Amino acid sequence: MLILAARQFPSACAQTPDQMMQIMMSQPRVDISAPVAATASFDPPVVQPGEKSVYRVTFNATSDASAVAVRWPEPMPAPSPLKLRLVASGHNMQPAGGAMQMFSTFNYDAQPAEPGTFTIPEYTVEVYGKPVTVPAAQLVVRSELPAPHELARQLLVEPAATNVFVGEGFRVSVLLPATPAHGAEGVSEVELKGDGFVVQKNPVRQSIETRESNGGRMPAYVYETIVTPITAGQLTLSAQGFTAGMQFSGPIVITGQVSISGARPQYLLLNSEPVTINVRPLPTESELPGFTGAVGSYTCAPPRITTNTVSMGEPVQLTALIRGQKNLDRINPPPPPRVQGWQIFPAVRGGIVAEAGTANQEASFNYTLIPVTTEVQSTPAIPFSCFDPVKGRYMDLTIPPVPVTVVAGGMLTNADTALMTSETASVPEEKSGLSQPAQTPGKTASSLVPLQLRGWSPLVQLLPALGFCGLWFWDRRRRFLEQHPEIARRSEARRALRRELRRLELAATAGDAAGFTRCAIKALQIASAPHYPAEPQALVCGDVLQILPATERQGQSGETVRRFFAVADASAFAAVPGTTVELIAAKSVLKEILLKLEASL
Amino acid sequence: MNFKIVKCLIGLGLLLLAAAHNCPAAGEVRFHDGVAAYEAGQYDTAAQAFRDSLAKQPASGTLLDLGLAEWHRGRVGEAILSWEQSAWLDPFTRDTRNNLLFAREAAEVNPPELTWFERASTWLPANFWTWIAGGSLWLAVAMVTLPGIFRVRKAGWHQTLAALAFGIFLLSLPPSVGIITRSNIGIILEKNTPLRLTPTREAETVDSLPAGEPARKLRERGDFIFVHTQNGSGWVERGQIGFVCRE
Repeated sequence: MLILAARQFPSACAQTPDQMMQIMMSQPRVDISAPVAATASFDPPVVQPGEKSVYRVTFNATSDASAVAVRWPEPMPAPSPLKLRLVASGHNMQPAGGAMQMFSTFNYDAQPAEPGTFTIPEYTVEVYGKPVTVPAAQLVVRSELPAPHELARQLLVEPAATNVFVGEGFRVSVLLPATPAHGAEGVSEVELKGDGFVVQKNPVRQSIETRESNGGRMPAYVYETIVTPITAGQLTLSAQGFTAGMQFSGPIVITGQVSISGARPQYLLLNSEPVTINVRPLPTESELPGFTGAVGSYTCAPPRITTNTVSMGEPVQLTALIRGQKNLDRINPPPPPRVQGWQIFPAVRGGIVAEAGTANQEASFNYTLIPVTTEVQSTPAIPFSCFDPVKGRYMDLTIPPVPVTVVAGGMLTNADTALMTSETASVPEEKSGLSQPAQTPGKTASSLVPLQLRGWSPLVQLLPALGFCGLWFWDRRRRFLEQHPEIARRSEARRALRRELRRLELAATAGDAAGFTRCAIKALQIASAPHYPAEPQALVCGDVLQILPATERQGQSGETVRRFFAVADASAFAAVPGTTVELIAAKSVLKEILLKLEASL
Repeated sequence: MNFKIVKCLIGLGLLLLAAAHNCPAAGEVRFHDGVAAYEAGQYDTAAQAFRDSLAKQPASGTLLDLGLAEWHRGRVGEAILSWEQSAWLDPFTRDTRNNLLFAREAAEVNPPELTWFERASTWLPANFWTWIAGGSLWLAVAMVTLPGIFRVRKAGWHQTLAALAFGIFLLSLPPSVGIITRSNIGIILEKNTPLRLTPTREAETVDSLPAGEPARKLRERGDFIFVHTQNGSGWVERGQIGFVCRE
């Protein structure tokens, strides 16, 4: 095995400005004044029907292999049976006459179906707005060709996997097998093309090794790199590059017996047939917290902390270690969680190192944490997860908490710290998911606004107060009436007197003389009773007359009272009751007496 | 005659009561529509149905389901707000608490910073504290005053009950205050909500708040609300924050 390191340029960052100038001055001159010229040819120029030939057009002094720089005629002036399809374009720098010159190359696939001689005549294209003549080229298609004959040279793309998940990096090999006409040679300016892929430039590995090809073992140039799909679907991936003879743009490993031609390289643009990669999307329903896009088989090593005893407000470094075999440089560290008691700064990458004794590598992320309270007893758990494409599910890589002791002032001794940390065991967090939906509306409320903030709430709260006030006034009134019973009696007498007056009116209206007399007597007794005080039924005519003023007692009022009582007594006790009809006529006098008695209550 | 009218009115009332009990309310119909849509995976439809149901009557289960639907729609802020409102009505539901824990862990946002009396107020539904405070106060007053008013001999249990009720009243005061202060806590609804230095749209952005971040309202000005968050204080637009206690 032979390892060559070719064209190793000194690192620019390690040079001083003067050395940089020397390096720049020592580089060959780039010729940009030569007139643009074109060459065109079929490769190979003779094929059988159905075989592929590459129509290759090269322009010198151009550095842009795009439709902007070169405007092709539409359609291409090719014979009708010959269908041309643009499959690759690229540019490179080639030595020409002691200087370097830029070349742009365009590859068109031609796959004639029938024998004949097909000539693409001379035609003109616009290069940067100026006409450039493309010379004629001829392709001969013969039914019979001596075996073996030269086939169109092309690159081969061999992906390590064709069924991957989004974000899952996989190795892709680009091969250029040697042929009897062309020995093993390197490929420069290798490009992997395809929408939805990110190609990593750093882990490129070049080698020349023996590979199976067309039933035999032939040396082949192998260019390996890592490709990461970033979108889901059926994606196509192809490669292109320039043949470079024995010029290799980096270290190369040559295995086995290989003959490399020392002739000047031809710098032919080669391309590959596209391969299809089935890229599956990551499942979203089972995504775990802390997923930052890491796809691969990783594990989380116990984190390291610079010290287990820290003063409040002082930073402490927590190093999280993620182990895996590939793509560790593409892992985004989990964002710092927001937790009470800690101020955490985003992680800083700490580099990738090989794990001793295994094929694993270890990526480290350094978090700076500042405790803002002495109540915390451990660093917070930092949620992190990755998607394992082998297992097809998310893996929890949460960085576990590390016990710490936060002191407000002076530091503890190591012995104290060790004792305290041994007593605090980290408790695994309880994992949970979303619940099932409730099948009933549950507890209801008229509003989410708390009662205290509703306008009617103070009134409702004051209702008992109003009740208690009412009770208090009632009790006070009751106690007052207990000490002044005459007020109650007179009040009761007034109410009873009004009732009797209403009955008196009804009896008078109905012409019920006996009833009228009874009501009159009762009303007189009620109106007089509070003055003694006595039960109304116990009063007799003399008692009522005593209440009247002396002048009225001897006058019409006294006479009327006597008449009513006399008739009532006669109807109650005499053998022949007296007539009562004429008493109704004295109603107005009676009412006047009763009003006066009521006024005296 | 009057007795007949009263009998008719009582009969009509009983009839309406029976009818109301037998036919579900419109809000409950929309709730079941929402559950069906949720189980069919139609989260937009489910969320709308739950909102319709809540417009009729707020309920803890409806808010729980609305949070689930919003979570599946990717609206983290709305989901956390709904679950906070569900816990506001019914803090005893374990599903609501678990969902809040899960959502905050997944969205990497913190729960609101509560004072001790606010934390105590979360032990019972929001309105319970008011009733407890009012009921215990007036019970204590009644035990002290009513025996004298009704001329009942004051017994030992009267005084014991009065002391107990007054103690409950004193204990319920801090949570009642906590309910009022908690009503100022809001949840940021939109991702990367700018926290502005001044209450204008052209103001300098102090910080960006994630959806689901709690914020405490301090004052208002026009369409902006001055809030205090765990990342600092500043102004947010009224439409970018939802309050647990909707006005």
